[in-house]
Amino acid sequence: MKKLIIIPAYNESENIEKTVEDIKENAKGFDYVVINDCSTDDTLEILKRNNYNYVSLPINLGIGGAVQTGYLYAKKYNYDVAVQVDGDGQHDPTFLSKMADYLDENNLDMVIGSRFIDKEGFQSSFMRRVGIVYFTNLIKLLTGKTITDPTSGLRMAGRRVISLFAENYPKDYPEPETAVTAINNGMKIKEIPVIMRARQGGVSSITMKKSVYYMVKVTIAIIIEALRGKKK
Amino acid sequence: MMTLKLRVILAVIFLLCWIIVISKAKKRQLELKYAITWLLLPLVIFIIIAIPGALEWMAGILGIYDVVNMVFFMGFMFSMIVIYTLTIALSRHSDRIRKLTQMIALDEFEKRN
Repeated sequence: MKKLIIIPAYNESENIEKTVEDIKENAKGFDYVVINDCSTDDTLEILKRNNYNYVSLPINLGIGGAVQTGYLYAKKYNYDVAVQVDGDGQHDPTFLSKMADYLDENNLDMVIGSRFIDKEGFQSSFMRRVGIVYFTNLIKLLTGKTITDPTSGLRMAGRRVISLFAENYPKDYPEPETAVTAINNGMKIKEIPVIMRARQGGVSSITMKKSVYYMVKVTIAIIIEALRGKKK
Repeated sequence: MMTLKLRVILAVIFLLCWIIVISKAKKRQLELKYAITWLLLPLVIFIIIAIPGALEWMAGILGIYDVVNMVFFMGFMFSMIVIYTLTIALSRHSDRIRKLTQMIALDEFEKRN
């Protein structure tokens, strides 16, 4: 199985070395590619200096565009499985081979690592958890499927989902929306419990004002996505 | 004074607006960011019109005699705001296209030499 780790990175000079070394150490069956989203700090220099495998975007696209670039890469170089690992150190690479095996054994199209099945590890702030529960219920209402961690960035895609996302991926806050897209395209999705860590350094890009925009935008996006209807 | 006729016409227009916008957004021809604007705007205007007295109050503050003119004025102001944000977005886009063009040209130069 050809397996790829997509590491989107925007201004992660504090974390990127740790993240990549962690992956090289703990996810040995996987290739990786760092997608540098036109960072303005010295993320790119760090990537070059360490001779990491990377793609550098000429202008900033945001998380959606960066991750989609990763899926395009996965499709172009014929990967069977692609998984997103964030550049901020929240995702633990030791779960990756478990996810890949689970996907393979159960013939799934997508596996999502959920923080909230076993409720271990970093559970995120209270406000975020309220938002997450809201999305879980909204998705359940619109698609009938229960996703306990719809905002989890730790998600592994099989070939069909790689193609789907390479073609269509939201520009920002993509996680809840893409879960609905995948569901409505008939993809088989399952979650497994994972343990995430708190952000290791640097600053989250989601502020209070952005949180409101996030809730409104993603709600409308999910509803429109659900209106697109189910496909076989 | 705002006649019932006008209110009904406005409601129908807003509903049509919603249907068209959602249809375009579904087909991915209208980006979500802008779709939100076109969905929320009629809603806001509709709420202002629906709350009895709101329109009259605003007209009073602005010194507008006829309430119907308030509706038109509101529509005009919102249009201006939307156009303004469009010009800002356009400026950003043309800047990004310029950057991309320059990078591609310099890359091509490197490849050639």
